Amino acid sequence: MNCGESARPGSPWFGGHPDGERAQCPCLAPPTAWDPQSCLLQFLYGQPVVWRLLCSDPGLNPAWPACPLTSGGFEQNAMTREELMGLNSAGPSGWLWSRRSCVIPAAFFTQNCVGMMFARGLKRKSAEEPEDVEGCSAGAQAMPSYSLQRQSLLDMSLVKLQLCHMLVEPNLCRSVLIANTVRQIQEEMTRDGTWRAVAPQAAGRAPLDRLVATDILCRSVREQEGECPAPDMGDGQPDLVPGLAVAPAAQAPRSPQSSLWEGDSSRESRGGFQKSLDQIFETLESKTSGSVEELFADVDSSYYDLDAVLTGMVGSTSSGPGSGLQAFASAATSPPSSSCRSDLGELDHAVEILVET
Amino acid sequence: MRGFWNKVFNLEVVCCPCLLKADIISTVEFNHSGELLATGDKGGRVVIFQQEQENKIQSHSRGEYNVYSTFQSHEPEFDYLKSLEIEEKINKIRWLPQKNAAQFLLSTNDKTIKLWKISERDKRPEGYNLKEEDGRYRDPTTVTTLRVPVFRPMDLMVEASPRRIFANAHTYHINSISINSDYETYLSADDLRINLWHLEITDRSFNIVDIKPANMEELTEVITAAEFHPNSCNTFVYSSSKGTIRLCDMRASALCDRHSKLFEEPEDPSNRSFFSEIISSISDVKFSHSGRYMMTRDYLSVKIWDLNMENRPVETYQVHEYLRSKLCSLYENDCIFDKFECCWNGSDSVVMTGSYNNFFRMFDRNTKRDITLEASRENNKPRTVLKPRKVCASGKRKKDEISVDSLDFNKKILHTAWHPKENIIAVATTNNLYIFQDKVN
Repeated sequence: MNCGESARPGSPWFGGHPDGERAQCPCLAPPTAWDPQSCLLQFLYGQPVVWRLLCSDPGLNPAWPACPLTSGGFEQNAMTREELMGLNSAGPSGWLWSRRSCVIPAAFFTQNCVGMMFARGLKRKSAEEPEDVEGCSAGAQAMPSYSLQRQSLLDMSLVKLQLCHMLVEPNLCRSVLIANTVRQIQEEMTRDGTWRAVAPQAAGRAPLDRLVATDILCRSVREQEGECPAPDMGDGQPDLVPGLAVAPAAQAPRSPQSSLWEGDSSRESRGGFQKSLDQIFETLESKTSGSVEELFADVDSSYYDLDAVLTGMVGSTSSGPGSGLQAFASAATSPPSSSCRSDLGELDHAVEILVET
Repeated sequence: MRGFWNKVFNLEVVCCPCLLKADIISTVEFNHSGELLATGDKGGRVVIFQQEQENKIQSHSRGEYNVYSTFQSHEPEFDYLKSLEIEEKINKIRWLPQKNAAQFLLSTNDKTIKLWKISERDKRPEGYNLKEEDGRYRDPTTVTTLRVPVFRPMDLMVEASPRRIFANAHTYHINSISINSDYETYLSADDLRINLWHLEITDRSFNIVDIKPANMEELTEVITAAEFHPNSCNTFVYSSSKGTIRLCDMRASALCDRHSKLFEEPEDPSNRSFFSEIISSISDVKFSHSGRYMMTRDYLSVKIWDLNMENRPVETYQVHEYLRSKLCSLYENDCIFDKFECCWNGSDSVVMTGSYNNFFRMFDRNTKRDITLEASRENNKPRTVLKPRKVCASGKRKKDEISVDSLDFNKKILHTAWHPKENIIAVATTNNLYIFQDKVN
């Protein structure tokens, strides 16, 4: 398939389907040196109104400039469905999306990056620093440590759960299997004692003992205020992450944002992780339109997470198990307003576009 | 019929009716005589192929399959309450046994099951008194004589009409339908519930299995497949995402939440990983024609169970063990969630299932031989004999072997079907349908 070749004419699937054939453009073919930046992610909101196209760092792949959406460098666009459909008929390079679900291009995951996807993401951000992320491959295909692998798997699973959440038609079997995997990892990490839980104040809230740790951890993702600091931040403030220059103005609108989440009080006590599990399963139940809005509100935050993690915008120089989750924490602190724009770095440019919903 | 398996498996390509307007094939099923082969696709269409009547001159081959009928079974719908689209993809097709000239099949998408009648019309009435041949009404005053309309032959027309629509009974996505041996009832299974229907009654169904927990947070297991026993009309099985199969007897109680038998193989501790549960999830369960055995397909293997022994399968066949070391990558790209189907041959001596790279595998239960074959257009013209393939797991790759890393995980064979009487198989790649038969000398 050549770059620029459009999808099958007349097919309702513009580029492929997550379960079926994934149309691949050489732009997305796995490069010999796999790099998490040369990937294309498309998202479809629950309501197919706004299509969001994220494309990162086209300079890595010379084919990218041909793509009209990526010309001009690192760009993200929020386009209406009609605009995007118009583009597709003009035959841009290999989009992978379906009108119903978000799709990550097959090329994004190569067979060889066993458990190293996030490790590489970490590496890329800290490429300027001399020391390497623990266990990350530095050119050679060194296997990361078991704990890093496990952490990567956990991150990947949480991301997949978020994706499930965003799918228009969530596959319950897949969600259940991924959720069980996450629980399994978390149980093992709890047994190992590597799960850093904030003990007293949160312990009482979680109804299920074994999910206390996840409860706290993921709550810290969604609530930036100090009442529940992120467990992996020694300094107690999850929002200021080295390398992620968040403008001070950004912190002001935090409270309305968190109140949006806090409004969902019935779920709060069960914690963010449970919340996403709940939402996954409850999506399948009948919902009132009001709660659907809440659902989409959380979809927004999950985009931060996904984007932060997958485009390597972890923004942390600290290595180790906590950093992947830090991505969630840091990404979630991005402001809902577009006040911080021009003078921010690549990371914030990306995050801010996400916020512009 | 000559012995099917020679020294080596010989499979001759009979024909390859590649669906030109390719939409992704989502189910393949022979009817009870094997004369008809139905395929469903992601676009909600059903295409039925019919075997040519055997040409007496060309007695060396069985008939080829040609398109018999195409119809749109399901349309995309929108659930306004949940703001979710309902896919029109056909998840399963099951044929009813033929009772009269017409054929009947059940087809289902995620939410709605439909009973279709496929009938032939090869005669039409001519000679109406009040109508012209093109259908326009004649002026009655011009009618001077009367004649009796007669049937005259016409080109064969195959019509499909929906006879029953069984809707609004499933909250979750339907994954299986199975017709009972009484040919009056059938079951439909979604992720959490199984319903029993009567073929004549569309406004009611009985819920016979419900594994939905009171609190959805506690959900850890879903139903992945269900099937009625081929002979006992009160017995059915359902498989779960945790690798268990439950056999239920509908005579025991109205709600079959308590199984009569639970089939589960204890986990092998040496193979334990974070992916153990996912790869143990059963994607398909099929009774043997005899009814004595059942076959389950999980991610890496096919297992044959004797219904009388619950604690372990009687036979296990590894489909693609070389993937065990790649589970993390397969988890990343979601291939680990692929649901492969499996099927028996007519005599229950051979089982078949699909794999990646357009490979499919057959296992002979008697000789314990197995073979890997590929369904691809490049290598197969009609009448060519399929060459066995081999995947090299590690180390030195021999000539003609394919290394694991060069497998194409986008080319997967999820759906296969075996003719109920003859050695003809239908194999569906993503967009193409291949039909193979054994080499008859």
